[in-house]
Amino acid sequence: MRSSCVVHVLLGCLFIGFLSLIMGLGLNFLRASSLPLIPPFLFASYEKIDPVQAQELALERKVFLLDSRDHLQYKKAHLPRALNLPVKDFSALYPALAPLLPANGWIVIYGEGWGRPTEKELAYLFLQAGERRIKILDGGGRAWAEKDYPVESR
Amino acid sequence: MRMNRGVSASPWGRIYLLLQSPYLGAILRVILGALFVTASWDKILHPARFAEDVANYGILPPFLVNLFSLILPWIEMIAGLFLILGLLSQSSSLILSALLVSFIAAISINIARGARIDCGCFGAGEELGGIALLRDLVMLAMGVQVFFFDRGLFAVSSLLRKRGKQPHLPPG
Repeated sequence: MRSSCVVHVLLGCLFIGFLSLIMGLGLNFLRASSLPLIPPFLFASYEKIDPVQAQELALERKVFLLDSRDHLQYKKAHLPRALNLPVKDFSALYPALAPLLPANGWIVIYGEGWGRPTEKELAYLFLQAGERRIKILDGGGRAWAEKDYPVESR
Repeated sequence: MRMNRGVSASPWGRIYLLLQSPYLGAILRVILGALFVTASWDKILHPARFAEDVANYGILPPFLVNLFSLILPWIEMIAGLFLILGLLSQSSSLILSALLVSFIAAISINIARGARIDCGCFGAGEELGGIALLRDLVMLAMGVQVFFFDRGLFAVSSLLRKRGKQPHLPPG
């Protein structure tokens, strides 16, 4: 009696899960603007730059630093002279930003270094927009902070 | 029954009995179901925005974020509807309680990180914080009560069971 009860409950859970799978994926399939099942930025490859090299280039002002995190995190602390371009604001801000990009040199994008890989998402959007001079800061803001390189807050 | 009378002598015993009450179980079942149905509605309508919120939590590996954001709202919706109707109540409350445990873990991790992100709980524009954590703890308590003590009052499942049993009842 007891074990059949457990099996009953677990089968019910499976049933609810299965129904949700069908509904979620089915409705997404029918939707005009469907969500890609795997985010496309995961399939692209990105060039990386390690923090030591990035810091040297930044001192010589040979790289353009872009912070891909949210504005609140940017305000708390960010790399010196980095500009903030949150992923969700890309389409709104890119037209204004494009003229500011340097004619030569790398654009280094960085994120938190843990959690959400915003730097990859932003780099993907840049690649889509036809901008190829993109590098990702390896280890993100965390690796930068661990090396005790300077940060700004504003 | 004998044991219950003994327990009910003390005020704590009375509270314990109240917590076990099938009436409370039925009420909490409907409330919890309604909460999850309302929570899921906005996520089903705006999957891209919900996926953004899930990604901001920074807990799931990126390749799972979109799948999770598409399927989770429907689990909430279907299990919530089942709770309201009283169908598969134990399975539904078990699933929702498990979800709440994972939400509580995810919220706690992000509060500890000091992340300032959208809750993604009941629709857009609520910042993650202690209130969300407290609300999920209360809902988890409701889910546990329903799982253990809901006896199927005002539930479709008991109607079905009664109807199924009727031919076996002795006449008169």
